[in-house]
Amino acid sequence: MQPISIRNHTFFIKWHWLLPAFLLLAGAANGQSLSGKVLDKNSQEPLVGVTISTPNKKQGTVTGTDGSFSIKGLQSDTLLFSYLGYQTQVVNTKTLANPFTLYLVEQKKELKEAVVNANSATGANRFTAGVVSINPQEMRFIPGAAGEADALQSLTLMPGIKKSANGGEGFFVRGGSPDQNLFLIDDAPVYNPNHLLGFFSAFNTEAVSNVSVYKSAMPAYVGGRLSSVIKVKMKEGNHQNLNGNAAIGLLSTRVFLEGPLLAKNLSFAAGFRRSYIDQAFKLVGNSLPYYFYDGNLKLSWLASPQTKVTFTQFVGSDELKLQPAKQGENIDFGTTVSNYASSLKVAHQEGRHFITLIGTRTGYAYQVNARILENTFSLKSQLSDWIVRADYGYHINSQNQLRAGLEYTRHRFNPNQTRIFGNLNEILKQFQGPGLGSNEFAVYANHAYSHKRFNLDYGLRLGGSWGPNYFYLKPETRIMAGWLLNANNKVSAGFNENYQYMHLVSGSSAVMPTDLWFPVSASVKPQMVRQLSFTYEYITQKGNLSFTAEPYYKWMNNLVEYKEGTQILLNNAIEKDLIQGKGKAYGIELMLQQKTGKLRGWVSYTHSYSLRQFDALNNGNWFYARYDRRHDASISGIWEIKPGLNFSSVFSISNGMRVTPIVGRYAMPSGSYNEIISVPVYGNRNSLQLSPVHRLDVNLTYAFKTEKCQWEASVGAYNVYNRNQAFKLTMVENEDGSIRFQQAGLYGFVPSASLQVKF
Amino acid sequence: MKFIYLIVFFGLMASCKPEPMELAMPQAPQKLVVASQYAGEGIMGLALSKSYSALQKPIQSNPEGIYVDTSLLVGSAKITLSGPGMRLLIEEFYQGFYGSASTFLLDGETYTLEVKTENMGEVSASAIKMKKVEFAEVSWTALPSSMETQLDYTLQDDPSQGNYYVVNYFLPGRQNALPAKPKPEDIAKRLIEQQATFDLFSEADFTNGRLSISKKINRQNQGDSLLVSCSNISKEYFDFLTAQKKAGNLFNQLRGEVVTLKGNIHGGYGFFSLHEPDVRVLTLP
Repeated sequence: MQPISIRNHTFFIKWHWLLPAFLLLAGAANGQSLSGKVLDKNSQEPLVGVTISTPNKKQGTVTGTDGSFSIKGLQSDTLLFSYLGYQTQVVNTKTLANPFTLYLVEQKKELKEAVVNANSATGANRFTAGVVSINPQEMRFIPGAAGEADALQSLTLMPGIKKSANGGEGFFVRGGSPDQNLFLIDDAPVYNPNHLLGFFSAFNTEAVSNVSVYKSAMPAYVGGRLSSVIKVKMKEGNHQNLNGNAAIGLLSTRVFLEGPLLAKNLSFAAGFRRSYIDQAFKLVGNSLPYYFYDGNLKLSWLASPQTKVTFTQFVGSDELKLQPAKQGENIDFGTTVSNYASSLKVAHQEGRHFITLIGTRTGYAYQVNARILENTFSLKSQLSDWIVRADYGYHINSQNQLRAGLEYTRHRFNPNQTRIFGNLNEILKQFQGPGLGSNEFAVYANHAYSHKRFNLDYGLRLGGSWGPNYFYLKPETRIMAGWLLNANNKVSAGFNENYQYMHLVSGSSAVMPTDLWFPVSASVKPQMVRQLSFTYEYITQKGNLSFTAEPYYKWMNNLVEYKEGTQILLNNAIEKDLIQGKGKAYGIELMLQQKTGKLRGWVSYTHSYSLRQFDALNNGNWFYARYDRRHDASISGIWEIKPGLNFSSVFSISNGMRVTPIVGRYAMPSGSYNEIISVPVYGNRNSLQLSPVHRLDVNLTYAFKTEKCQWEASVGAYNVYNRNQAFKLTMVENEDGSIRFQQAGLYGFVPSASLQVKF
Repeated sequence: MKFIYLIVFFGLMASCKPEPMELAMPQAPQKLVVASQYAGEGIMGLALSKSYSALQKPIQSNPEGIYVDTSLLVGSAKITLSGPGMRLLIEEFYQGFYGSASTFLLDGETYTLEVKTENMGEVSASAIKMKKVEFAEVSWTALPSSMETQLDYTLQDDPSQGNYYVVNYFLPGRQNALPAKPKPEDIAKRLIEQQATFDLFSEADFTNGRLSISKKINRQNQGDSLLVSCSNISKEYFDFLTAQKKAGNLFNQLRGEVVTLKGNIHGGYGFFSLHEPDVRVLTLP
């Protein structure tokens, strides 16, 4: 029997008449308006977050994630296009075609601004509630781990986005679990976005063009996860000149090269990064045979003025190989966690019509090899995806844009493939099962409409999944509306409904790279969220200071946890140990940002709650999620001491991780009656919070020029005052036999120094 | 290149690992803990103790033996067992240990245990007296090629009651215990030599009402005794032992979910069960 689940019929029917109604509205709209795209002149890459305004700043907008913009009711013949790191362009609108494409030229002198755009449309009539975007020029000023600019680290300074304390790989958005975030690198999913247990992100910032996070009010063409979709866009390569950069830091080195290939309509961008922690330890006579690497390649071919073909390849891996250090030690252990993602994209524009075809291939695997005495053991888990997607956009006029498309994903899972030799065979079973396959699809349509002070973005995504003995079909409603109160104030509200058809099942104590992904099944239903969010934004007349407040409420259903007592390692029947429950998360996110001047930066604060309810856990009572953080704040500042010399620092603080406390013990004879066991008594699930996590990171950057190159030297420190970033609980026995509990951190003060050369 | 490595070296040397922070772990009030065993022939034993703080370690376990702080035991309690037509006082015979030799119980009947103490309050529990189920067959064979003994036994389904069974192996020695600070080799040794000291079976394990098991057990010295017992138990006690077994599993201890043992003692911890084991004593060849 195949369970077929179609819910929300009411919504579905209503949309049938709502969509044509707005299309009629779209046709009726008119007025003085302008739309188009803004691209980098060299690379032809779309520029995200370009500020477009009239000289008096009373009207304006910003470009979206594809570089497009739309502005209407223009009261001026002149528009200013300004973007961090690029020369500001002033254009006369009377001489432009509509729509038109504008090319911005990168500034070669030192950067003057460092701004993170979080809903920062200046005097905007375009609302982007819940979307955060950040580009490398902005990232490079934010102190990162070991002196490296880090895309994901930068995002965690935004309200509502949190990473677990060091030693954990989780990435939590608005009270959601780590598996509820979809990381896409040029449209291809990346299942493990971290290196070194989350200390570094898997994305080499040198090769990244832009990072956007959708965390609420997602348009219909974005989906697949409950909490967020994080789009990492790689640089497309310079079509005019060969250039690049190389940097050496304390823990890793990286290179990036881009330029034309064979002809000017074909370009490449390639980056590579490798850590050398292993070499450093070898130097001091110790052994820590761990390293990570990642590589990126992107080829971009301008087949015609209207057609662009791009190919992206990403690989990344973490390798650890421990060998017997001394004669007679009989343990040998190694582990590899690897990612790869490829995507081929064809984008074609014909007048007001945009067509994009994408094919991607993604793989994620981890392997553990061990030798214990005369036994050998090998464990491998793999996941791979094939995805095809077709997207169509129709720019009806400056006030109306339609976008529709479909996508299909084939997942293949091969968890817990074990090979065992020796006596271990009697204890552990070899498992070379056939693996699991599942299929996921989505069809979507989205309409963006704007009229004077009002904006409306709405759409429907019809997603589903099928596999052995199950079929799910779920409509997802998306709507977002905004109202510009005056030149300084705007409000918006959004509702989104998302379903998720695969789950990363993590233990209750930590998110590990060895956690397994599983598809939905007849018994494990898709996770679901409904989210309501509001945004209020204030921006000063000059656009240099902004304030944003975003309250939200999320209802979640069919969330996945393990049953009590589940053995996570080497469990080949884990589906039987999964249970489903519901959750809710709510809070308010505040952000105050100074965008210009010699001292720039922002303060963000989130007050939030995240709760869960599972019949089989915590006696069926509601409990706080492991990712529940009541308070989370950060202050990020950049001080331009003099041209070329910048000092930046970040201070962040939040409540500690939640754990389940052991509130007592009792003695019982074991079931075999041949020993007395000490049975722990647990308190309410996740009722104990570890100490607050806070740290200060600093970075001093000095940029200078020589005859042929630009140099940038930086020194800094992560966790300046060596604060323990508690991520786990350990039990310690005192000399008198009593017990105490300690909170352990992994990384303390880490100095950084790097030297980068651009050529 | 060495210059680069030197930079790396000094950078790493300057890195610090922060000192762990202390954590005040909240502790629950102490409660009474009941452990019971019905041995048949009217004999019933019961141990009464109290729970303790997770900040204490009153049980010391090492390969030589187990040492329990006797202050955990609760004496001078008034313990009564009542059921159809009977109410029996279970006497204390040693501090914290109580017993009776006249506990004659009827199969399938429900009995209630009530415990009253001066300082620790009262607890109670109810259990059904399970009918004794004997081994249908039991035998053992020495395996000449290894230091192992093979134990073969068969259980016969009892259609008159739920089919949940525990089979215990009372092994001499404590070869499964880990030292206080185990080396990787110790863990490996235990991993390889790990064997359950009790097995649990439910109806799903039976085929046509029978269950036959062959189990290899580490051979001890020649002439050592092995006790093996089987008991038909309640579903609740089966779940309690299943949770206990999961908690003791090495893989679970390395990375597993927390296990809460759900007992049947109202107001306290532990389990009150009235199952009657069939015990066999085997002398190892």
